[in-house]
Amino acid sequence: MGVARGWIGESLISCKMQSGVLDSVGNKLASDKSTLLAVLQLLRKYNLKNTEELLKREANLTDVGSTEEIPQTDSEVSSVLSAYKSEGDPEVYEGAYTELKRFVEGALDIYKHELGMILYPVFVHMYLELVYNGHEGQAIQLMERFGRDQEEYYQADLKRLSHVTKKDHMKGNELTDTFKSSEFIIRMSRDTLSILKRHLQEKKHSVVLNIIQEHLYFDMYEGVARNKQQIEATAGALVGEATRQDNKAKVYYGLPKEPDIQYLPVEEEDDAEGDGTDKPKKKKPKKDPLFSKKTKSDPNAPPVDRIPLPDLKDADKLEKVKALREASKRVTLGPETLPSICFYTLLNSAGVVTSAEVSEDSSLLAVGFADSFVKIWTLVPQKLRAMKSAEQLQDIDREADDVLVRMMDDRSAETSRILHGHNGPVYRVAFSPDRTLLLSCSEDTTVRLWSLQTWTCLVCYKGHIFPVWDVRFAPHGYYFATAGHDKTARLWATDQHQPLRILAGHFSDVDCIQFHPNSNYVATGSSDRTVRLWDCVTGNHVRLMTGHKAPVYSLCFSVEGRFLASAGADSRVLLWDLAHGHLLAELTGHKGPIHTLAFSRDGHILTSGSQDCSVKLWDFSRLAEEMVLEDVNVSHNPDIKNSDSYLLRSYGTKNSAVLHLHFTRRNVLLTVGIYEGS
Amino acid sequence: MQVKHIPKDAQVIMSIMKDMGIEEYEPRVINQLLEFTYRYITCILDDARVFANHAKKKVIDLEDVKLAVQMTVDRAFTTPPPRDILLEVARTKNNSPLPLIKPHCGLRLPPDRYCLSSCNYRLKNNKKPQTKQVHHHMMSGGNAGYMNNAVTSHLTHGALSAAGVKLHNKQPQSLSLVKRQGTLATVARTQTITIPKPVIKFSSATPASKPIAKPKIQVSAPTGNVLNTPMKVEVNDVSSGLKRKLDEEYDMLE
Repeated sequence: MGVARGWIGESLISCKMQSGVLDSVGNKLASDKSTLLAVLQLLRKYNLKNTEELLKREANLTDVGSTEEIPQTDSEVSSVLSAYKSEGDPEVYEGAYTELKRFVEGALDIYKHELGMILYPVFVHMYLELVYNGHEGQAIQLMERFGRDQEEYYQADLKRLSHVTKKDHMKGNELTDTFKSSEFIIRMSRDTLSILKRHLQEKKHSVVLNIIQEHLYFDMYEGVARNKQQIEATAGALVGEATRQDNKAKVYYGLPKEPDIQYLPVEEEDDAEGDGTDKPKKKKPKKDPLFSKKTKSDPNAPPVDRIPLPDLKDADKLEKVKALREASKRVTLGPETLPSICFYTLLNSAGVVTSAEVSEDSSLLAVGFADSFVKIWTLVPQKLRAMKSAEQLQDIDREADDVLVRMMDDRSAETSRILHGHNGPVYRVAFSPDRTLLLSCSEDTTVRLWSLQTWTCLVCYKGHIFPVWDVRFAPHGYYFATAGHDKTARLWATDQHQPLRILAGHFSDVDCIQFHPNSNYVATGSSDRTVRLWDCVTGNHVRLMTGHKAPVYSLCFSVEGRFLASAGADSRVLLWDLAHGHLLAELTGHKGPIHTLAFSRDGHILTSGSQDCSVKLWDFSRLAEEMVLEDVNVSHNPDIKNSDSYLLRSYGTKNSAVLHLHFTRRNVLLTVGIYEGS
Repeated sequence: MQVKHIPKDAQVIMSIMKDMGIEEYEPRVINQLLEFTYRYITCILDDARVFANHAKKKVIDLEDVKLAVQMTVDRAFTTPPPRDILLEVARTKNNSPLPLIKPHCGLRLPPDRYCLSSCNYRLKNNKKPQTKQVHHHMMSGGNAGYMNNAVTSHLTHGALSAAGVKLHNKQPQSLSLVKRQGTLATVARTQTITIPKPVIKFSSATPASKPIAKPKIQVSAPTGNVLNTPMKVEVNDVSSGLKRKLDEEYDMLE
């Protein structure tokens, strides 16, 4: 059997099966016929005829011809092979767990906390094994006895697990499927791992050994074992922590050089008039002080053509110039100069308003409602105009400079407009960077593109077959990304009726999504309590960041693109360094789920708004400074800063949950909230 | 202080909610859940009765109920696909490179049949006994309000020329609608004839072709392409002359 075993080993490892199963197959002999049949099926699939014959002969399965016993599909095969089939005596489980716990607590302090990380997954899998094999009573007893001992942040999952008491309940249950099919990942230092292995060798507890072999994956690292604080910081995700492999890829987190927009037609008042109209008018590039400083190219910036981006139109270039001028006039914020805050309160809106968004230049406010409308208000004296009718448009002069103004009908000016079209609550709205388009996503599984010039719906994108929780436009326009209940995020372009990329990998709903300022990457936060960074070009995830203890509701990239702030139902803001995916800081203070984050335009202040009706300001510039001073590389985890010194101010409201935060170009903070009168 | 007597079913619902860990809820939630429960159970039992009858059984069996539950679950309470299928689908989809962006200006929208920008209604004229019925497609794009009928015929013909219909080069200038041989002779005047692809011949100019010679092209910048739908145009005797035909059409529309 030696040669065949080697063959089987190789082929099976290559097709994503845990190699531990092979041991268990050998050990359990022919007692588990269906397992062997599944292996046969797998061998047949890969055309390993000799191996198949050998296995049949060895295991006395020569009478296998009946197909009804053989699992047909891949997932069935893997489910049989990785199933919780165990011949263990149900009474043994509690004893085994207690024994394990005693071992962990008896270990040396340096190793204790890391070793303790195995208790939760072992407990979960013990419970599921008991349920799967029909030992309901023992399962419930196990849960009652040891459920409370687990960490606080696992209690919600344990509660959901405790409702699963029969094998039939397990079928189709998302949580049990996740545990059954994915390994729980634990990062352990070499020393801790060797202690654990030695203990398991000694005790020969088949139950625990089997579970650990099949369902746990240890990502080993060199170095000192982590202390409790460090472990706590990155624990909490549904399937454990991130492996080093997950965070290895290079991420271009910089911003590419701005396209040269100096050669714009010179503005009218500066035209050198008067003399010599026969002289050819030299288009002297206006040496504006704004453009004079040359940005040196950032080694961490992506090449400009890494992802196809739309060219800038003249209107866009003018907009950029305008933005730069406003930026030069803005207030630089810091611990001494805090921003002015303007709060827009939506009255009579509790239970009715689901989302709010302010456009990039702070002129428009869009609100999504639970009864499927989207309403848009203007925040500036200019009202909302509609485009002229077709016949009127034929009369305007197309070569005029202000054709974009002339094509709008002044008589149709309104302060607010309503967009109808969705079939269910609108969960998120997003403005395009040029403010001509609006995207909205809804529980009716569609994403709609609206024109803000004709105030009608242009396209209805169908792709998700479940509610879509978030939609964002790329900073350069043209692309947009959606996050849905079907555990995927998708990257779309406005002129494709189907998504360009499907970003799959999360274990639960994807709750929020955000584009990187250079439009090359997309970050997603999920109910499986992880944050992932995806590459738009390949669709693969390049960073996996764990540490949240509850679903993630909000993401925000820093202005220069290196850091990512995430916040969620666990009331904390976590700051990540995208260079290696490390957790940098944890800002606590809020008492309710945080739904919105915003960086100031100069990147010095981070603000967070929460359901506890308060807005908090954090000193990000000091944090970033301290970060740069530390020498960080792939394996060395930086110390995680704690919040108290970084909180600048906390502003409370009467009773208004904060829905959206937005910094204007001059660094005034606009906030939108829902007043909940008691 | 009266104590409201809560029916047993409602108490069951309340205890279920307590079990699931829900502490705060509006009182109407219990009613909603009760209603759902009744409706769901009735539905299942109805289906189970159908299955039992089909199997010629007198009473509903456990198997019937199980089958009924399974049918309903498959149809109504679907869950997202499992992760490995999603990964497989994603891998296939992500293999194709990102498409290059065409450099044209204006709104970048999907092909028209995926957009909501085409006209979603058409006007039908009143049935007048002696005249023909004309169907006009209005191409007002997304702007539904512009129903000026007289204008539409301008647009109709204008758009015809703009829509890239084949032009015969031999006779440039004015427009006449070509009569298809053999299709008209036996057809009564009140019927409409639809010709899927009108072939437009430009013949020498007549003064009556004024509205045609200056085709008013629909401005399409904001709303994308205008005309993809085939034109249904009534064809009548060419001999009546172009001008008169157009005048007649105008008369009808008014």
